[in-house]
Formats: sequence, C-alpha cells, structure tokens
Amino acid sequence: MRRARRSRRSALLLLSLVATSLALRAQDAPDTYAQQIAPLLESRCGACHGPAKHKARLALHTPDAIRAGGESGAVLVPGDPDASELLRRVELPADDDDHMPPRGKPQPEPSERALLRAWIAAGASFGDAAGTPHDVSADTRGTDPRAPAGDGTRAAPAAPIVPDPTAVAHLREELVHVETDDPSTGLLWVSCVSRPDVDGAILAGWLAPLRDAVVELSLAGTRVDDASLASLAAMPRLVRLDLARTRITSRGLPALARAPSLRVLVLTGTPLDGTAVASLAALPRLERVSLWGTGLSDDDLQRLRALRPALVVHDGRDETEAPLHTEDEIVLGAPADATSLVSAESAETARHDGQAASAEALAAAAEAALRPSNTRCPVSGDPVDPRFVIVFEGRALGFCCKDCPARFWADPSAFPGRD
Amino acid sequence: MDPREERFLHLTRRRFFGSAARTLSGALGSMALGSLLGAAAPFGGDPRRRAGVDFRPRARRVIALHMEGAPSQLDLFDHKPGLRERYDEELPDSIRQGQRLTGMTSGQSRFPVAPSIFRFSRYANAQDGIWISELLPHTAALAHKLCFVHSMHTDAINHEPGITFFQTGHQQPGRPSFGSWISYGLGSSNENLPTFAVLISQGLGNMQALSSRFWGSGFLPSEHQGCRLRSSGDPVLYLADPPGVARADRRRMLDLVAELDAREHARSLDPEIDARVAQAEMAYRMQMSVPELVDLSTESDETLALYGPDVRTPGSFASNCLLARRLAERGVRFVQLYMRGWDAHSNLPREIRAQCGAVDRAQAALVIDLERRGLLDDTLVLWGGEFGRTVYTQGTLTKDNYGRDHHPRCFTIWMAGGGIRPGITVGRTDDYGYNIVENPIDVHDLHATLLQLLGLDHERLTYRHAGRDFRLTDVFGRVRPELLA
Repeated sequence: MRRARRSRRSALLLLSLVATSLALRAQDAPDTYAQQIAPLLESRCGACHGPAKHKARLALHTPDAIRAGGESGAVLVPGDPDASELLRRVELPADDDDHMPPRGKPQPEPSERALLRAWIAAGASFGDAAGTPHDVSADTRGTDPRAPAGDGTRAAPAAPIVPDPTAVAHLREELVHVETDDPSTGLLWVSCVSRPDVDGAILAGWLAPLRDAVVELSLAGTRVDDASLASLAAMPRLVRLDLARTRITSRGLPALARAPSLRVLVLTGTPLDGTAVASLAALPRLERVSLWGTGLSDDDLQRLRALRPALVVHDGRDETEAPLHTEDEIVLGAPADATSLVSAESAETARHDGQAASAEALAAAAEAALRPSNTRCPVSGDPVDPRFVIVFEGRALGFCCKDCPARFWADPSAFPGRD
Repeated sequence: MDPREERFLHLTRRRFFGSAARTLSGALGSMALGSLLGAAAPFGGDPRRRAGVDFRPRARRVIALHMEGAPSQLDLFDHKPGLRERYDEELPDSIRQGQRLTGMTSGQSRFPVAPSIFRFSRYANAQDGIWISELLPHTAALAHKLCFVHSMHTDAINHEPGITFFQTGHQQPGRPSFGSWISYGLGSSNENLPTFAVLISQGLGNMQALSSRFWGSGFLPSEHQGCRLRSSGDPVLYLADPPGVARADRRRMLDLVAELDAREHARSLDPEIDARVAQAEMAYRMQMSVPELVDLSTESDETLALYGPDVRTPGSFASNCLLARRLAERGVRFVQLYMRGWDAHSNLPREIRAQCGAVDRAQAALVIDLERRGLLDDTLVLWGGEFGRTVYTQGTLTKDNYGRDHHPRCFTIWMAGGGIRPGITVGRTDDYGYNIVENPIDVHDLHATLLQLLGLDHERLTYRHAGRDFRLTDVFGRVRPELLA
C-alpha cells in the first residue's frame, strides 16, 4: 500500500531508487522507449499484438517486431507521425472500424496518444539516442505575455514533457506532492506542504532532474532561503512560485529576475524590506504578487504600483467596498421607495384642495418647506436628491445621498462652493 | 474501473515491486509510468489519472460552507422590494403552480406573502451592482469578489434528502459525498492530513439532524470518507496514544500489523486492507500534524481580530473558518464546514439575525485571509444551503415576524476564488422570488462545473459499483461556462 512502510524496508527501496536514478543519469538522459513507450504499447496493444498473439501479423512488444510491421506493411515512419499507420489507427475516431484499440478495449489517454506522437516525431528511437534534451527556448516562445495570470496561460511545450519518472517517484517517496498539472503538456505541480522541514540544498537536489517540467512550485513554510532562488529561477517553465512564510529576503529577490516564465509570486509573511520593490518591478513577466504580512510599508507598495501599474498586488489592504446605495426605511403594505417620498407637488395639491391636514399632509408640507435651495450637492457636485436636505445657516441645503450630509457637518467650511 | 481489473492491477504492481531488485531499470520505468500515466495507482502516484483528467485545474482545493437548514434567500440576497406592497396578500396560484407543500405548511389555509423586513444595499460588482441585505454587511462589502447564483434549484423538499442530494448528487443515501469524489479523483496533496476534512458549528436558530453519512464515501474505498475534526477534547477521536505507549512503540506495532496485513492482502487482494493500512499510517502522521493544525496560538492578533471575537471559541463558525483556512494552507483538498441552525420555520427575523451575526464577519474574513495569503487563486469557496425558503409565511404573519417553509424551486448560493468569475450575479427569479425566470442551475450543473474547475471531467470521473459506472452527476450535469473566470 502506498507509503505504508516508511521504515527500514522503504529506506532500502529508496536507496535503490537513488542508485538507479544515478545509474540512469550516468547513461545520459532517460530512455523514452523503454520507460514510456514500451509499457504503453504493452498495456494498450499487448493483448492482441504482444508475445502471445500477433493479430494481423503485427506484434509490438519488441523493437524488432515493431520495425517489422504487420500484414499491411510498416506501422512506423520515424519522424513523421502523420504517415505512421500505428498512430493513424490510434487517432481515428473511436467509432471508426479501423480505430485501435478496438471499441470496448481500454483506450489510451489523450496524454498517452500525445506521447506516442511526440516519440514518433522525435524519430521513434528505441534506445540510446532517445534522450535528446528538449529545446526549452523554442517552447516558451509564442506565449502571450499579456494574457492575465491564472487563466491557464502556460509556457506550453511543443511536445508533452516527459518528467523523469525516477525523480518523480523519489519526490513522492519523500512525501512531496507531485501532480500532473495538465495532461496535454505533462507539466508538473510540486508542493512541499507536507515537508516544512526541507531546506534549499536538499530541494535543489530533488528538483534538478525535473527543472524543465515544473510549472507550479509551492514551498510555503519550508526552510528555503535566498541561496535557493538562483536554482528556482533556472526553471524555464516555472509560472507560479509560492514562497510564503519562508526566510526569503529582499537580498535574494534579484536572482528571480532570470526566471523566464514567472508570472505569479507569493511572498506573504516573508521578511522583506523596501529594497524588494526594485527587484519585484524588475521581474519581466510578473503579473501578480502577494505581499501581505511582509515588511513593506504603504509607501513601498505605492512605489511598486507606480513602477508596474498593471501588476496585481495583493497586500490585504482595501479589500472591502462600501455600499453604493441603501434603501430607505421599509414600510410594509405600501409601494416600495415611494413611502418616504411624498413629493412636494402632492403636498401643495393637498393644501390647495383645502383638505383637513392629515398627519401625512403635514409631513409633506414640512418637506415642501425643506425644498433645497441648491441644485448640486456641495460635497460631491452631483445633482441634489430632494430626500437628503439639511437646514444650514437658515436655508435648506440638499445633498446627493445620505452620506454626504455627515461629511458636510464634519467641517462645513471645507465645502464653500455650494450654490 | 472494474474491481476485477483493479485487483489484477494490484497483483501486477506487486510483481513489479517483487522483481524490482532483479531488473531495476525496466521495472522502475514501468512503475513510474504507472505513477505518471497509469490508472488506479494503488502504490502511490497521480490519482488524477484515475479520472482521465482533461483540463488544467483552476482550483486545487475546495472550502464548502454548507448552511444546514437552508437560509432564506429572500432575506439575504434575492431582493424583491415590490413585495412590500403585497404584504399579507395571498400568493397567486399562477405563481405557485401546484408546487407541493411540506408537512409543515400543508395544513395552512392561507399562503400570505411575507416581504423581507430587512433593508438592502446595492454594492458595486463587475456588473451593475448587487443588492444584499443589511444582515450581511461584511460579506456584502466583498461582493466584487463573489459570484452569486440566484437561480439554484433542487429536487428535494426536506433536509435529509436535500443535503444528501447537494452533497452526493442523489436524494437517497449511499452515494459518495462530493468531498469523497474529490479525494478519490485527486488524492491527497498533504500526506500528513486527511484529504477530506469536516468541521461542524452549532447554530443559533432551529437545527436539524446532521448525519455523518453526509460525508461518507458510499461505495468508494473508505479512506475517502470525510474526517471530522472535533472542537473539544481530541480533535480526532482516539488519535493520541494511550498513556504509557511511546511513539516508537506505536511505530513497531504498526510495522508488525502492516506485515500481517500485507500477507492477508497478498491472499485476498481486498482493497479495504489497503484502506486500513493507509488510515493507520495517516493516523500515525496525524499524531504529529493535527495538534499543530488546531493550535491557533500562532495566529496573529490582527488575523484573529479579522475573524471576529467568536474565533476564540472552539467550534464556533469563526473558529472553524480560521481552521478551514489553515487546512487549505496545508493542502487539504476538501474542507466541508457545516453551519447548523438556518431552518427558520418561525421567528425568522430573530433567528436569521443571530445566524448572520455568527457567520457574516467570519466568512468575509475567510475570503480576505485566503486572498491576501495568495490562496484564493486556487482555493474555491462555496457557500449555500440545501434549498431555499418560501415567500409566503409559515405561521402567523405580522409586520415584524414571520416564518418561511422549505422551497426547492430557487435559492441563492455564492462562490469565490478557484477559477470562479468574480463580481457577477447569475440567474433571476420572478417578482415573488418563487420561480426561476432566467438561467436555472441545478445541483448536477454545479457539481459538473466545480469538478471541471478541479480539472476533472464529470462524465469520466466514475467508479464501478453494483455492475455499473457511477458518477457524482449520475446521468445529468452540464458545465456552466457563465460561472467560470
């Protein structure tokens, strides 16, 4: 069971994993065919085209068998996925009679089909030459830097990344969370949330084989420090980096300027100071940064906003907004809003009609006497709403909303421009 | 996956492990392929592969604030000022359209309209603003970050089936809870804590029973059930070692039991044995991680103040909101918080005032706190009850008191973060707040949409049980793009 045996036995396995990973690296890069393609062909095709059965005289369990093809000829054209019968069959619509694997059999995942295509495109190598390092600079070209953060914008590789499985397995043994962020790219989300004890040097060792594959990295609360930032900045596809509650300081931040894809940076709760502003402003692709609970002052934050107006800065300030408008007192059984608004006209009509002064009419008459003498609110300059009137220096002064009178009373001399 | 296939896979994977020493590179390659691309991955790996993930996730975790008992949408969010002049008028048959009644109001001779007595204010959002009740000023002040759905509807009319439906996608008990599906589909991102945590706050209004099966895993392996964290005594029952047992003793015991379990598993391949071993190991790690999790003394006074004075009372909604943030911060996938006490059949104004007093500040604080810590990007907050409440009164209607019965045809929920479009209102109800007139969204649609945000295709996240593939959304559900950022 997963991680059930964390004692000596798993330590042994771990040792052997490390040994293997070293051995693999010694032979150069990972062997795509042996590690990825062969197991894929075995699991998806092996039942009919494996050692036991050769339907249509095709077997796919050894390189020689694959090269030999089947009764209709070669199934692979190295370097040309579209001319490769194997891939054509796999990519046909599921209800096509020629589609493989046949209906009802386990189908390859989209990422597995993509992997197959990428492998053929790269030359369908069966061994030594498979580990050509990916041209990262080509991948990051063509992404739109203006796209908002968090909308899925990724430095999408031209072909799916195949993360070093040994390194991934090793991280998982260490209880570091590794998850495929997007199956179509193979990029990884790595989170050290269960390993707050991990420090920068250890982490650098673990992540080095995966530097091309990590797109999001959560190191919140770990013991990474400024010395780790250079190796993090060297991750070509790293888009989101969470360093909350770490010991990162302003002195370390300039190293991140070399991170080519970094768009979202979380520095909540780190001991920064004002010198961080220049370093943050210099991060070329940064779109969003969390700076709450750092040592940055209001002035520092303002400077950062001035330097990078488009940058979204989360600082925990001014999160809330006051209401635009509040309704009047509620009166049930009467039309809404009109209840407190007996208009001046109707009050005058009542007087002309010489009717007995009901309480309502009296109120209305009083309101008529309070008809504002001004047309524009002295506080906001907006048109006066006749519901909001005060008596000031012997005359009725109208306002645009319920809030302005209070501001006026706070310091009447501040609003001399009333008409 | 077919359980027989799954057993076969277990067996196959065991063989890989067994032969690892002899053919290291080959077997390791296959093993790791299993982790990266494989299916059931019983020996660790990327459980998202189980579901055949098609999308990049926008949300990595969910905090679901379930308002048990069903808050009144009419007194909180669904502003119907026109009803005030219809005070005490009979609800027209043309509006009710034969809607069935619960046992609580089926004996009433009249169904008089009870307008809300609470004043609403309009708050700015990404559209032309939203009206929110005076009862929720702190929440309302965040309207520009929230997505309100006025047009939720459900099939159920009573609490048990209503909550069961909202949590599991089915009115009858026995299906896995939403959190269990997430645990199954995404797995843990912190091996030291449960993947699906449940927190319960007692309400101040009329409360209904809260069954633990609301967070049960149904037919999914039992390691996916919700783990309730208690507010008094040990947060997790029986987690602490008994007096006299040292941690090293516990380790030796677990190793021995695991060895026996492994023998039994090799014989029977029973997945429940895996679950048992996994739970025991997690409990061992939780002995260290849970005391740290629930220790709020490391929170700053400023943060505690943000959640309000109740935060110092264990089990309060405020305290549980803070705990929910701490769980999210530690990578827990699904936090289900229940706030009880919204079932205001009578004395609604008094009860809802008390309920809102308990939740308003804390839930707003949760959103603010998540955002300022950089967590709202990928944490989805969901707030809502199991249904709505009626526009007509239950019991006597006066100008300052009324009650409201259960109403399945429309209710309001809100969401924030995690790929949800902020500052919008979706859906509209009629002038009585009784029927949906625009954009109805049912519980299955909500589930499908949330799964998509978590990177899971609701039609492909399945589990074979009793001879068929089950889904959270059964045979229903449509992803609703209008909710997505």
